[in-house]
Amino acid sequence: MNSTIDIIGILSAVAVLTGLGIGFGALLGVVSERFKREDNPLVEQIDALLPQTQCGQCGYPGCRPYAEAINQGDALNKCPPGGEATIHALADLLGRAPEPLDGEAQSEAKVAFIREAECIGCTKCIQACPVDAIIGAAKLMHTVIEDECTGCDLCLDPCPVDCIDMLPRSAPLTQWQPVVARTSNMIASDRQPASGVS
Amino acid sequence: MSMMHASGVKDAMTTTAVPPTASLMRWVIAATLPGIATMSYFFGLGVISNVLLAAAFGVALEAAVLRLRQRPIRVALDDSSALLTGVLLGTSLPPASPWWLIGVGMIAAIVVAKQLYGGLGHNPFNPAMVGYALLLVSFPTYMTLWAPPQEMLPNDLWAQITGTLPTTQLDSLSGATPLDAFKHKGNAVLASEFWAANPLPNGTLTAWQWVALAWLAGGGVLMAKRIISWHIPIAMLGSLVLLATLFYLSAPSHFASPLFHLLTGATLFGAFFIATDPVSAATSQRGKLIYGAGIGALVIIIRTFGGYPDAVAFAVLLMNLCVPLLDLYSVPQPTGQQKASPGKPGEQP
Amino acid sequence: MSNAFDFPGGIYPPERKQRSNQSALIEAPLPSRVTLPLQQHSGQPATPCVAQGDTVKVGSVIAKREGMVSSALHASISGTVGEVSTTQISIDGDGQDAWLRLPPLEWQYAEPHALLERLNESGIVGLGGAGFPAHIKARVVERHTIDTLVINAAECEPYITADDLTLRHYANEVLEGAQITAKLCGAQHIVIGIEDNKPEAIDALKQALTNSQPVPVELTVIATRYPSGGERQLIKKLLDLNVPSGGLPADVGVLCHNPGTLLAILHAVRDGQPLVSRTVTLTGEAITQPGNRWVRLGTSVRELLEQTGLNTSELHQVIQGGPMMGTPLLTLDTPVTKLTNCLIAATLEELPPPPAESPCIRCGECESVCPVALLPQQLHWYARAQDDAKLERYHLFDCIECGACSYVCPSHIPLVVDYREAKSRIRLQRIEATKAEHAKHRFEFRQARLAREEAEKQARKQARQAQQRRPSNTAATNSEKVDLRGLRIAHAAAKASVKKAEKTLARVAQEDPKQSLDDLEMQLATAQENLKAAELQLAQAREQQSSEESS
Repeated sequence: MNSTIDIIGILSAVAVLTGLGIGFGALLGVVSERFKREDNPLVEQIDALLPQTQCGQCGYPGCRPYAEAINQGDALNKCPPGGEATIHALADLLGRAPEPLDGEAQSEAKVAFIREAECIGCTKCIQACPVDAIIGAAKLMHTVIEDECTGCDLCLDPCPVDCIDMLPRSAPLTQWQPVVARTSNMIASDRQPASGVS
Repeated sequence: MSMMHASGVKDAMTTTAVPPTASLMRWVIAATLPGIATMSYFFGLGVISNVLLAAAFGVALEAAVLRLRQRPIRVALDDSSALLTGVLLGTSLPPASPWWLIGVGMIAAIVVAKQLYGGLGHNPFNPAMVGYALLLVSFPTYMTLWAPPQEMLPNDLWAQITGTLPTTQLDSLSGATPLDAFKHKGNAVLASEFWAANPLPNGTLTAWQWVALAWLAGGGVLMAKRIISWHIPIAMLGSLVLLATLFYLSAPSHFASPLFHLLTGATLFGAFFIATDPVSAATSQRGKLIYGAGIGALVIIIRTFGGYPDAVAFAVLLMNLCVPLLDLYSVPQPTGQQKASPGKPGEQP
Repeated sequence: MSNAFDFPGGIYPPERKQRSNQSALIEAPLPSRVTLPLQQHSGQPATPCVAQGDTVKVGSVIAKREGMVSSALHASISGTVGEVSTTQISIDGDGQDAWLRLPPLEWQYAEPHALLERLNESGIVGLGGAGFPAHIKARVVERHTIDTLVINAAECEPYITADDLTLRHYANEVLEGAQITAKLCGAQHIVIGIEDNKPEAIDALKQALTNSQPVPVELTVIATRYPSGGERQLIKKLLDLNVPSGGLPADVGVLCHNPGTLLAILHAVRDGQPLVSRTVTLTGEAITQPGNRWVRLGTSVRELLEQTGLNTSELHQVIQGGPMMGTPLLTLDTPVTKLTNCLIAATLEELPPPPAESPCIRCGECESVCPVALLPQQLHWYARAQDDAKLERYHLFDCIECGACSYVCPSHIPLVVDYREAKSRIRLQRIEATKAEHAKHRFEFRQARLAREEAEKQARKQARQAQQRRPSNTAATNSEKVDLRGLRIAHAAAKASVKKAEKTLARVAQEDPKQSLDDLEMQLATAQENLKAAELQLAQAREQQSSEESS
């Protein structure tokens, strides 16, 4: 008598759990089909974190291709213009460990500047510029539109007379930043000097 | 020449209308005095020895940890927050608790719950309640040694504090608190049978009620001085009374009356001195109301259905856990975030 | 209208106005040399239009408006132009005080555009603190219907009495300036909001009210509480209207002006006198003759304070603006500008440096005084942690930086400093992000253009091959795998993206015509280039296929 009840109990428990399993499995399947996204949003998100200098220092022709490569598993640390901040943002997004930057970090934003007296008008830099920031024509002087230049220095190498300099980007006063002499440490007491305060 | 603000310069005016942080802490300590005095009147000098020992442990431990962390010690000690934690934990413990028990509790409170998280202002949990909860689950025997109301100077006070009292005598000290007694009810099943059996030593209930009123007086002063905001105590007591009343009305024979819940155990002490710790409480006014109400509800639920007779410590700690969530979802609507007021539309049609 | 409406929070700092409101408003001595910064207003700096050695009179234009939001600058003394740099122009005075005025205008009969032009020529900006060019503010009617002009005479900050004294002396003129502004913006009502700690100014206004024509003027006296002079707070208090977050008072049909600005508007219109001087409150314990002065723009702060009996040994700091929102001056060799409403020469006892900061214990005192109902303690936490997403969630950009939270903080945390820092950091990040986005679009456009050029080249090559009519077996071998279907899909996708880009462009252009559409136009061009390339490729592939079939 008892054993039959037990068996029924066991069977019903098994049945209920199986039913739940199937039900939720089906729900998951439906949801994943229903809300499937055609594009790969992850690539978009990675691309949004890259600095868009299109400099190619990562070995890819532009930021978007590098974003696709990262999505395929390439290293995160190949973007010198982005620096540590970009590596950390990418590591956060992808749940990977941040690696030290491969290459030299850039200390400040730069723009290309053509010493116009020396320019011979070869148009080679114009062809190299990934964002069409150089204007000029054959045998005429070229110049860089400062606002459009991303500072990728791709124009330096092609120049046959080495008349292009990388100069610090000028910033208007309205973009002035206060000098913050503060560590990123969260703990308030850690910001104070260890001695000298009484 | 830019007309932008030169940031990095402190504001020129500061107020004297709000006392600085250290005075806030000292006000709270001062407001515990009526409660402590009443407790020691009923339960003897053991209460005061608890408070003094715990406060001394608090200051010493804070100084030690600050030294290890290589932080300025004086500045942190001046804010009296370690002292306050000591006072609060000391009053929560059974009278004349042994020194090592207090020490362990204060280590948990100051070292673990406070300093390991970064010191004042950074602890997610109420330090005193972390210490109390740790002691309650680790040393249940010692934590239930609430002797019945007694003389100011019992014979074995010193032996108790130094921890040299033989274990055989420990039982003689044990006296149930009203909450404890009601929880287990002895042989009684129904509340009425329980009360008829007169289960408590003489004067116990009265003593607890007087102590509760003393806490209420201290808390009232703090609220009147605007040292603590009214939101948390009122919400906590409100939800506690409401829930207790519901239970009591549904089955008066099984559940204690709301007044019993209000005036026994740590209800009023918790409402004014524990739950109001601003660091570990919710931050917006709406959040504080939910936080307080949550504590009140949890107190009743744990007291009624849980394994422990009193529940303020656990209720506060559980609600501390919920604070980040409460903060996230109780952001007040700033003026201007609402839709533009109707009536005088500015946009051209 | 009664004071039934209220904004949340607020504080009651010591007023300390008696020191400067006892004496009458007088002219400060003519400076022998002035230094005029090119940016004394919000927006773009002005462009100099004089050269070193030029002779100028008071009111000669020395720098022109540059771009949309900007303002002209006039010589404030007569003499010769000294140095012209990229940031400022200095003038050495000849002591003559010779004026160059514009012809007077009868504002009742003048055309609105003439009045607007007058404001533009006269370099009038908001004198309350933000320095927004008045002619741009008046042009708000092009996009909004203005119902009420609010005269913000609350002057809630401690120490400052410039508006108070202006109203005592020039109540009629201020109201006339308000009538001009009301005419320009089409306001039906004028409401004056003034705190009850200025009884003499209130009396003066009451007398002036009766003569004011044609728009009815209402005087509302409000209780003294900081920061009731905040634009949004005052509008809430006077009219019970909530200016939407990120919006302007014009969004609720209100325009707000400071009395000083209205007086300057009247002077510009009635007398043809451009903005060359302003009232400045000179106060603080470290000067012996406090009071309000008409000061020529560009006068050195040091000179001005020394004329009022500066006690250098007592001086601890000079604050420009009020003690709540102003900034300590790093040097006294700085000129008075259109935005300098108050100079406080404070002693150490008067405005002592705040005690050392201790950790935030989240006591919530700041929350209860915040006039915008923010959570300052949470903002502080996240600003220090640089958690920008959370700052956004706690509405950092709704903060008006009034300093009420810093004022009451028991831990003496300079909260507003944190917020300013976080705001400027986030603003810069946004600029950088837009820049990156822009570079990305330009890069994509270039890629598309190159692809189109490549496709065109291929098409030409194929056309040449077709003309030569060579036997098709050589051509067929390398076009074995023409993926016609894939190309057709690509073509359709390109077409769709052109449509999408067109739609987005049209929608955004309709929603906000002022916004720059460069990026969207470029995206459209990119899509079009891609479409052309796809079309060419498709045509090419079709031709190849047909030639294969025929062979």
